[in-house]
This record gives sequence, structure tokens and C-alpha cells, in this order.
Amino acid sequence: MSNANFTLRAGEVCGLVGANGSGKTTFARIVSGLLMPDGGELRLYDQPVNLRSHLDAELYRLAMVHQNLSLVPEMTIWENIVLGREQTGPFAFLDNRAAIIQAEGALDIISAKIPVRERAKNISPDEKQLVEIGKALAKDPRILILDEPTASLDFHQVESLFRAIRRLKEKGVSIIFISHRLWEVAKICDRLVAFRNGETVGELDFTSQPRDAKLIIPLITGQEVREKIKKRSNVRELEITNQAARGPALEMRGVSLEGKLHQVSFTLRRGEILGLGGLQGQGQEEILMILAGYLKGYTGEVLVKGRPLSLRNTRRAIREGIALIPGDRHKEGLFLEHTVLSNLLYPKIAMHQGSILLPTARYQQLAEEAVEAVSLIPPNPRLIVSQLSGGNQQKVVVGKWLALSPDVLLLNDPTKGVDVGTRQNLYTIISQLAEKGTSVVLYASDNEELIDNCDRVLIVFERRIVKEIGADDLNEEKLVVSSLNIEHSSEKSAGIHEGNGT
Amino acid sequence: MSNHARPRPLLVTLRSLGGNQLAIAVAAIIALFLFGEIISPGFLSFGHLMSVLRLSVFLGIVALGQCLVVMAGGEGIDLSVGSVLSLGVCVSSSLLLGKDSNIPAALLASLGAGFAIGMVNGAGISYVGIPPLIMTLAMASVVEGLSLIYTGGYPKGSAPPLLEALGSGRILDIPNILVLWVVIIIAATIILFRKRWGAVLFGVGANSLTAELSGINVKRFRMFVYGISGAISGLAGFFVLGYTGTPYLNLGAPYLMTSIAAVAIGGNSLAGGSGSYVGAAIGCILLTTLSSILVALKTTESIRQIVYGSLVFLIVVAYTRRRQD
Amino acid sequence: MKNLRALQGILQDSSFPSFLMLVLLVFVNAIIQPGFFSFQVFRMNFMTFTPLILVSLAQATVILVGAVDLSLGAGISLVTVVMASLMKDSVFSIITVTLIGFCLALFLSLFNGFFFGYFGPPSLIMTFATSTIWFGISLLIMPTPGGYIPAAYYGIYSKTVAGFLPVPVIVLFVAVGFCLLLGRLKAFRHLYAVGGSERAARASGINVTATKIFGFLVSGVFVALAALCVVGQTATGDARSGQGFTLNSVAAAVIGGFAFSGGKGNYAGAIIGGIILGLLTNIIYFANITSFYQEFMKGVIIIVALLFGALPRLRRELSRR
Repeated sequence: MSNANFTLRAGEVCGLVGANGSGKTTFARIVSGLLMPDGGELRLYDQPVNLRSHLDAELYRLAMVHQNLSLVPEMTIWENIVLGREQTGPFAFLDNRAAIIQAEGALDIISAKIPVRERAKNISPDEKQLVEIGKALAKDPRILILDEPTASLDFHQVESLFRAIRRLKEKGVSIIFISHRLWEVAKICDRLVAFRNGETVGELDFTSQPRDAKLIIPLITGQEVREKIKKRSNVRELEITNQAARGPALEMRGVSLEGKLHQVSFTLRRGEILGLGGLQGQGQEEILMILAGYLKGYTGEVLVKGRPLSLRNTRRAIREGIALIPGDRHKEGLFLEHTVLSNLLYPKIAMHQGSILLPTARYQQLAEEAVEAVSLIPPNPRLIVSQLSGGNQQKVVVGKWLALSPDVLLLNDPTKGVDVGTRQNLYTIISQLAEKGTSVVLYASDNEELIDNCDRVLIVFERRIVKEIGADDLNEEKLVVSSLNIEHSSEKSAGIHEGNGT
Repeated sequence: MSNHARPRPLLVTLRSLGGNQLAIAVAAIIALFLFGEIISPGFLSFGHLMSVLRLSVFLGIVALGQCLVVMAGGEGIDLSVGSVLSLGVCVSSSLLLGKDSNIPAALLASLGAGFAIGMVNGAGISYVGIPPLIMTLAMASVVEGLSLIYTGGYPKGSAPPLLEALGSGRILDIPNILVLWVVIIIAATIILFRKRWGAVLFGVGANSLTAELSGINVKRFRMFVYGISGAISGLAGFFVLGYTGTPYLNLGAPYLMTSIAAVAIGGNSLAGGSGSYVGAAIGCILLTTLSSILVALKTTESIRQIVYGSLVFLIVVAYTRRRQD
Repeated sequence: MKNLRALQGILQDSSFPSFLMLVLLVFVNAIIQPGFFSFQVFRMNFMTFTPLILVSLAQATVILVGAVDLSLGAGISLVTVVMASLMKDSVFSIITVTLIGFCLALFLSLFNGFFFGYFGPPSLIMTFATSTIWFGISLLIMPTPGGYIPAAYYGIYSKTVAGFLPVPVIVLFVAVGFCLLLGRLKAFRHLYAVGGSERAARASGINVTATKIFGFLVSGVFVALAALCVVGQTATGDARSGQGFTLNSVAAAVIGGFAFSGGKGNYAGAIIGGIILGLLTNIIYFANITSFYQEFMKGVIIIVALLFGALPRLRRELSRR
């Protein structure tokens, strides 16, 4: 970060946008006291301050909601919310009753209906995010920093959060809203600041300009807005129909998994990009995990290229040409302390039959090809993965399957927390693969992505597939309505539009 | 944290053989030897150097199994290596009975017994989900008991000439077993860094979920790693018998903590996924040298325990400090 | 129907197998050990059980913060050796030396805790090292078991108060009281946070290092009580007296529901675990198994106990195939 300027006015919501590595998180960490700046000045309430720790920041009633969830899994939600600030009564004994009341109050502000006595490990990721927000709100802050607060939230929850933000504004709380989701920024922020390469490069004031997400993009990328080319076209549809003669790539018939999936059936045509939509945690991940051979114990049939198979383990699935890009790249997709090379080649090595000596030159070459194919920056296979930016890390996760030329690519929310540039990169790769004949199943929590990239979208709701939306019908409203499994009616849609308000 | 751009000779590892940490360990060994020479002239003689190295071999072999288990991740540790070694000693000697012709049988038996025990460890850890620390700790008691039961308290038999030649003999003044160890070190390093199995191992240790999603049956793989560790400890027992000539109970006890210490000194993260056996081997030499110095100082067992423990303590604390920098 | 549901809930609870095991072992013990339900035997059993339960509580606390302490046994031995070397007949001596022993145990645990908290080395090997050091010091002070403990001291341990409360049980009550007190403290809840997710704890402003040291301090209190009991029970100083406690305390904690990753488990489980281990040791002793088989059986039974404890999770996993 080299020359960042930022002003937050009282009672306003100011957005902060920028690509991965542009300095947003660094900025948030400096303001919240986690990091010390080398130069420049930080002023809170018009007084210069010197924050030595985040506890100092809290003394100024500044609270931050982190991007990475930081809840203690075994502790209950109320214990998590008051963690570190527990009130004590006589004899310095903990006052649990006060804590529970405080926790319930905090969650009330964002209308999160989560039982506070539940353990943190038992709630879903979106609920965890809400608890994190509740934790910050419980500190009764005057300045609130939200770093990617909506990453795991569905439409409903985002609306609740926005309502809460508006209420907080009325109370005089000032908010910094850091997000990749530009349309959300456009919706809720009064102003925004854009960072690029550690510097402030522009501002937008929504009181004087239309709330159009497209206006933001050039600030971030420094380039003119490219008209988004609809990836779907009649040509593609024709292609896919031609391929259909060869039979479907994948089929699920009546697949059920105790408590997670119920009678899921669908067909994946060759060369198509099939989207899985719907609210989070409805079973989409489980569908992908079953196809990847990771989840066992399901009933029903899975057919690969027309042959019924029992995908008992991941090896089997990979041998059938199925590759999974997992959702949580840190936990599921990478060896953080290993080199890019080591990561990129692992599946190839793992699937290799026999234990012959590895010819270094050949693997070197394969690695370099993969690095190029995903446009890794910097293109050095000897780098250690933990040092790459989030977007580039995700490229490694995708790249390692390219060497195996999969027939079916499964994507579990691949662009969560990834910047606009990398996102476009990844989807270019995916559509290229689709054109070459790879079939793709894409689960994205971001409706825009589904609209932009899929040929068809299946909506999953409460363990079932409830709707199929074809290419012609694909739009935000349709997706949202189907996700909530509401029958399309004019009153209901009017109600939704109100929240959607432009 | 910088990342070195110098070309690495090995394909799929993180740090080449440990770097700075090992340099310090080697420096410490040299320092110890010099110190030893001061307090007991003749310490630095070739003959004595070879003796110390010979002693390191047995620890080194045990440390290989420990190293693999640690590298496989999942808080892997094998606290049964000492007792499996003891069992190996007893089983080998009872089958050898001083005859060269019995060597194949004895070798197979110690390898087999060790492997079986290791697999039980691995099964309990991988499939039942018992934490490695306690599974192997409990197993150590079981194996200790097994040794007692098997020998009835009085281990019988002795090492045959050929095995004794291996354990105590020399070629051109270099102990035979040391040559064997060098071969083992080279083989282990090749397998770890050049063969598929080694690459898979590092992945499993670094992130078992990622490895699983890449097609590895992590549970089965880890189980076999414990099996291999057990087999290696049994083998070590076989060789130790060659050194001592006659069997005693509990010969393996001192090897347990030292094998763990050696692995830690050698730059292997106890969380798995990185490190090397060469580092552990150097760690073995360091610890054996230290032990040798304590003996040369004619210290009582109590002093030896205190010094040994203190030094391992300091090493462990200092090395963690270093890691955090 | 509601009753059935409640019953199902109890059966599937993770501490149920431990409880079941406890009942089973009491049953077996009652058969094997003559006069199990008589007061005499009850008292004698608790003289042995109490130190074990206390050490299990100590180990459980350490495991809670994400560490393990393999030096507990050696620490106890060292305290017995020091106390047996110093204690004389006078009341003053008894009280002073008891205090010294207590403080020594605290110090040993704090030593481990300090280094663990500030430098963060892997606790397994660090405490393995310190256990060697304590053992060496014990050997230095008392190469062979011996020393002197006045009857006034060890007599207390075998006394019974008010006709039905043996002193060891009273010590346990004190320990339980201490546990209850702890549970209401902020610092104690932070132990769970630090063990559960150090990152989350730090982000919430908790002083992670201080909490870790606190964990070892609490552990030290339990160890101190245990050492005092052991001295009361054996009336000698012995460098090897603590050896059995290590495996037992770890097993007890694991059986009692503590996870090595930390942040999980409660003291009731540790106490049950300690009692289970005590009963196991009893059974092996009274079943007249030859000494050769004792170690063997102990290990096997602990593994079986762990298997048993893992059953509910296993059953769940297997049913998904």
C-alpha cells in the first residue's frame, strides 16, 4: 500500500472496492489496529491516533467483521459473541445470563434467527457469517468495517443485513463496506472508494450518480468496460444438441443421501455448462461431492457416459474423468507450504499407475504448460503457494486438473473471494474447456455468474431439484424466485422487487 | 518470508533438505566432538568417530520409521517404536539361535511382527479414529507385554556370526552397518523425493483432504505408513541384536524419545508434509554424539538424564523459535 | 414417544459409552474384588483412585489448551522425593514441607506452561524432555526409593472423617469444588477458546499466551493435590512412583471425551475417565493375571476402551456405506 487516502463521514456507508491484492484488506487491518502503517496519518473522529493493537481500536468503538470466519467451533454462539468481553458479576464469576441477552440482541439487529445456545460448529456457513456480524455489532461500535460480509449469504440474508445497515446509519454509525460484489456496493453504499495497487484511484458518489455497478469496474481495472459477451449463443446450443447423439456425459437417477439429498435426478449433456443454483446449503455441494467420489453411502444410480457406476472413492471418479474444484481452497484444494509445481502435479502423480521414477523434465514441462494455461501471475512454478494472492491460488487449484484432461469438471463455488480479473480468467478457461467438449457442473452462490456462464441452471431447494431454467429464461429474478421456491405471482414478485429496488 | 530462487534439484518438496537448521546441527556435532576431544583425548580419533557413527545407525533406522509417520501428517507419531524394537530383538534371537542359516527366518519374523503391529496401530488410528499419540502409547504397553510373554522373562538365543559381523564388524575400518545405513539414507531420499510414493506422502501430510480429492485413499495410505514404521523398528531390533550379540529385555527403550527428537531436529515439522530423512539422520548423529560425551564424562545415570533432557528441551524450544521467525 | 426420543438422545450422546463402560467396569470389579461394596474396600480403592483422578484432571486441562503433558508422572515422583527427603516429625515441618511440595508441583507445571506459551514448541516432545529432567533430578536426590514421611502425615490419608467420608474422597470433593469454581471464571472459558481456535481467540482480544500458561497452572494445582495424595499413600520418595500416571492420565482424558486438538471436553468426563482407568487397574490386579501379562492386558484394555468410546461415531460412519 503506498498512497491510500480514505475518508469516512459520520453516518454514511462508504464502499471500498478493488482487485485482489489492491490493498483493501491491508487498509482494513490498519484501520482496525491489526497492522501498523509505515507512514501517513490515521485519524479517528478527527483526532490523529496511533493504534497498537485491535484492542486499541475497540477503545475508539471501532469494530471489524473479518473476512475469515473466526468462531470457536465447540463453543456456543452466545459464548462466541461475547468472547473476550465477557461480563462478570460478583466474585469475578461469569454472568452468562447477561451474555445470552446481549447475544440475542446483537443477532436481532440483523434479524438473524439463530438459536444462541447452539454450538458454532452446527450452524451453516451463512449463519456463521451472521454470527460474526453479530459479534461486531455486540460491541456497539460507532465505526463498523465489514470485510466481504456477504460472501456466504443468500439473497434474503443480504437484505436483512442491508436493512440493519440502514438502521445503524440512522443511529449514527459509520460503515465501511468492502466487497467484490459490485452490485451490492452500488445498492447500499452512499459513496465508494476504489483502490488499485495500494493506491486510491477514484471515488464515486451515489448521491450524484446512478447506482450502476458497471460504473465501478473501470475504476478497479483501469480499463474501459467491456460489453459482456453472452457466452451462451445459439451456436452453443446447436453444438450441444449435436453432441447429444453421443449420450449424456453424466446422469443422476434418484440419488438420495440421508438428510442431505432426496431423489435427485438430472442429466449432464456433453459440452454443456450446467449450473446448480439456489440458496446455500440446499444440497448442491453434496451433489458435487458424490460425483467426485468423496461422499459415499448414497442410494440411487450415477451413470457416467451411460454406464452405471459406483463411485466408491475419489480415485474411481478421477479415473472416469471427473475432476472437482473444491469450495474452500485452503482446506480442500491446496498444499499451502508446497510449491506451485508440487501442487499442480499432485493429481497426475497421485493417479499414476506404478511407482516408476518421475522424469523431472517431463513434469517440469507439464507444470509450465499448466501455469501458462491458467495465466498464473507470476508464472513461476517454484513459488510457494501461500505467497500467491487468493485469485492466483485459485488458478493453481483449477490448473492442477488440466494435466489430466478431465471429461467432467465439477466446480464448487470457485470464485468466492476472488477478484474480478481472476474471475473472468477462470471463466474463460472453463468456457474454452466446454468448447473442447468438457462437460461442466457449476455451483455458484453468485447468481450473476450462473447467468453469465451456464447453459442451463438447476435450482436446488431443501435437498431436491425443484426447477430447471433454460438459457432463454435465465435472469436474476427467475433465479431468486426459484431459489426461494415461491410460485411466481405478481404480488410476490412485487414484494421482491421492492427489496431489489433500483 | 523469502522464497529462494536457487534451482532446486528435487522435484516435489518444499525446502531442500532443511537448509539452515541442518547447518547448525552439523556445526553442533563438530563442536561436540571438539569438546569431547578436550575432556577425553582420543575422542576425535577415527576409531571413536566410527564407533559413534555405528551407534547412530540403530537410532537412525528407528528414526526412519518415525520420520515417515510424522511426515504423513494427522499429528502422526509412533510411540511404540522402542517396544517393537525390543520385540524384534527377542523374536530374532529366539529364531536365530546363533545359526547363520536361520537369518532369513529371523529377518522375516522381525519384519513381519513389526509390520503387523504397525498395521494394528494404523488401523486404530485411521479407521477407528484413535489419536496416534494414545494408540501407539497403548500399543507400546501391549508390545512390551508381548515381549515378556514371548520370552517368559528370559530372552533366549544369540546372534549368529554373520549378523554379528554386520552389527559389529568393519570393512576397511568402516563399520559394516554404517555402510548399510548410507545405502538406506540414499534409498530413502530417492523414494521420498523422486518416486511417486514419496510425493504422495508429502501431499497426504500437507493436506489430507486435498490428497483425498486428488484420488488418494488417505486412510489406507496412512495405515500402511504405520505398518512400515513398525516393520522398520522390527528390523532395527534385528540389527541391534547383531551389535549386542545376546538379547536383553527392553533394549528399545532409549530409542523412543531420541527418535522423536532426531526427527524434530532434522527439520521435520511435527505436523507433517515437509522435511527430510537426511535431517533426521543428522539429528541421530547429534544425539548419539551427545550421549557419547556424557558417557565419557563418566556421569551417573541421573546426570545423564538431566543433561540429555535439558539439551533436547533447549533444542526443541530453540528450533520452534527459529521457525516462527 | 417423547420418552423414546429422549432415550435415543441419551444413547447417542458422545459421553454415553464412557458411562456405560463405567457401569460395566464397576460390575466386573465387584465380581472380582472381594468385598467391593464394603466400606473398607471402598476406602482403599479411593486411596488409589484419587491420585489417578486428579492427574487425569490435570492432563485434561492441558489437553484443553491443545497440548499434552507427558511429564506429569515424573513431576509427581520428584515431589515425593523432595518431600520424603525434607519432612521431619514436627508439625511445623509437616506443614512447611507440604507447602513446599505443593509449590514445587505448581512450579514444574508452570515451567512447562511458560515455555509452551511463549515459545510454542510441540508439547509432546517438550514435556517428554522435561519428564526426563525431572526423572534425572529425582534420581539424583534419591537414587533408591526411601526417605521419611511421618505417620502423622500418611495417617491422615487413611483416616475417615465423620465415620463415612474417607479423606481421599474429601480431597476429591475439594477438587470437584475447585472445578466448579473454575467453570465460572472468565479465564477458564478462554481455555476452551484458545484450544478450540487460537485464531478466533486472538481475534477476540484474548491473551493466548497468558491463557495457555493459566491452563498449565490449573493443571499444576491438580498435580500438586495428586502428589500430596501419593505421598500420603506410599509414605516414600520414589523416582519411579509416577511412571504409571502418564499413560493412564492421557487415556483417561481421551476416554473422558477430550480431543487432542483442544477446546473440547468437560471435567465430569475426565473424572469418569479417571475412575474407569482406576477400575481397570484394579481388575487387572485382582484378576490374578501374572505380572507378565499385566502390561499387555493394560494396553489391550485401553485400546478396547478407546474403541468402545469411538463406537457411536463409527456406527454413524458405517451406516453411510
